[in-house]
Amino acid sequence: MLISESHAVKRNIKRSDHKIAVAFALLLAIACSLAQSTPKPGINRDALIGTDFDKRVADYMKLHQQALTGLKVPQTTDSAQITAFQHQFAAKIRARRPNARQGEIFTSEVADWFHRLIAQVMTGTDGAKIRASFEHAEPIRGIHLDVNQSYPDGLPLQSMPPSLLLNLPRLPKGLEYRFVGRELVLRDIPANLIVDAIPDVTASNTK
Amino acid sequence: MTLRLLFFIPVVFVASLLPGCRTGPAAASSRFLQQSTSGGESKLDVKLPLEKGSVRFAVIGDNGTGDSPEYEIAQEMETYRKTVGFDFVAMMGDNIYGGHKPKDFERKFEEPYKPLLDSGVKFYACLGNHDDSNEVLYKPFNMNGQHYYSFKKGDVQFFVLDSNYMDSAQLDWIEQQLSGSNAKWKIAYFHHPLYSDGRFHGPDLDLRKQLMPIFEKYGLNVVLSGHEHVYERFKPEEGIYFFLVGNSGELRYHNLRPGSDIMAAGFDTDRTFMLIEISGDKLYFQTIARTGQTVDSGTLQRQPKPQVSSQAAQ
Repeated sequence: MLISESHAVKRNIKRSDHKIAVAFALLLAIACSLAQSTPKPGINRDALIGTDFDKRVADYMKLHQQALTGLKVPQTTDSAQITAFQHQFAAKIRARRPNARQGEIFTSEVADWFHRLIAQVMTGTDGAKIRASFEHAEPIRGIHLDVNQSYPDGLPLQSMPPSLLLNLPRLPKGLEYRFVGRELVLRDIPANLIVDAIPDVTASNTK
Repeated sequence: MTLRLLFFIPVVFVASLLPGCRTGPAAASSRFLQQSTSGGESKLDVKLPLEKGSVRFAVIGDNGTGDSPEYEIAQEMETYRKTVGFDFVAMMGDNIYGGHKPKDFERKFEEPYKPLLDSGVKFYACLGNHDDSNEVLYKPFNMNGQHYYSFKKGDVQFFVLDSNYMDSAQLDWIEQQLSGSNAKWKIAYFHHPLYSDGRFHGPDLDLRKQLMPIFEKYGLNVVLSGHEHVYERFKPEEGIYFFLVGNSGELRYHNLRPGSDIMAAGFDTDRTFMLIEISGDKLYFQTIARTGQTVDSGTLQRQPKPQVSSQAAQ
């Protein structure tokens, strides 16, 4: 009986050791994970995301400028020339990024950040006023636009709440943010082209 | 409220003499001016003084439908131009509704306003939510490729804004332009109204929050807008006069909210355009419906520059 009791105690001790080891390993794993996801002291994670976004936008604008080379921006009484310029410009941009996909500029990290920036404004003190202005501005609903698609002729452009624009990263001349249906799109203005989009932005923040 | 209002000289509202035209809280229960069926037969009734050297222009908004009411307003404008002699038109946006193919530019702009264009009248457009951004390249709109710009006529400087996209770059530009302007009259115009009694849209409160502090600080005198498909004139806010002309093509019949405390006059039963004459410290206005009937007119006195900025500068 004594021997068997002694074995039982040893087994219990071994089980306890095992549990402690598992718990320690778990703690270590969590600590490592936190260390990886938490920025080092002094580094603002959003600033890093912002820098990455700015770089992607700047890269796009380089491509935009290259595509513009050789095209003459018309100032004309002939609206057909304006349309032709727009189509040629869009075609040259598409040719330079034929495989462009949603998320290339609005990466998942950038999209998360934008969700937070928009939520800050929409749920802030003036959120109700901004939502009211937004709703009164003939919001575009029931439409999805793909990257590299032209903004449809005749479809109104949703006006953007100024307070929201002031909370989003500033864009270079020639690019703009617009809400289209449930998406926030990045639009190339002179080429009238969808450059990228974040899905489900308005749905999560303006209701 | 600023000290400017201490110097406020009451506006002479000729409109108050018109039957059924709302002119303030006292008339809050009155009817809006109803369109006269015989208005088209009446002779030209110019309410402007037509002073020598004055700045004269017309105002249209939400006009670019290509439908017959737009053409009829354009025809009425040409009739008045022959007497009034205005040489430019301020466009409040939604210049071209729907498609923007060459035939749209013809049918919704070039054809209706051909007599005015042929007479050398210039059009200065701002962008509405129905406009294509590339309208900035269309020469007859005189935007010179810019979404927001400024131009000067005599003592009057105009600041034409893009209210669809009021970002920090544009706000900085407005502040810079207004602070550097020594024009006697400063007039801003853009599509979305800061004040409106229209049921369909209402005022853009977020835009108002961003723009009003700048307008007040630099002594803007007049704001013109469109978007709401009615005509409305407001009581001055912080010494600034506000007009809404959004029915020069489109119309939302009986869309004005009754019982408004901010409305000075309103008209929502037909299309209109405005004529404005500025001479010295006075602004004369006349709003004319499709049939030629004057639905609102009056004289406004320029408000003194705000005291706040000069005190702050000392």
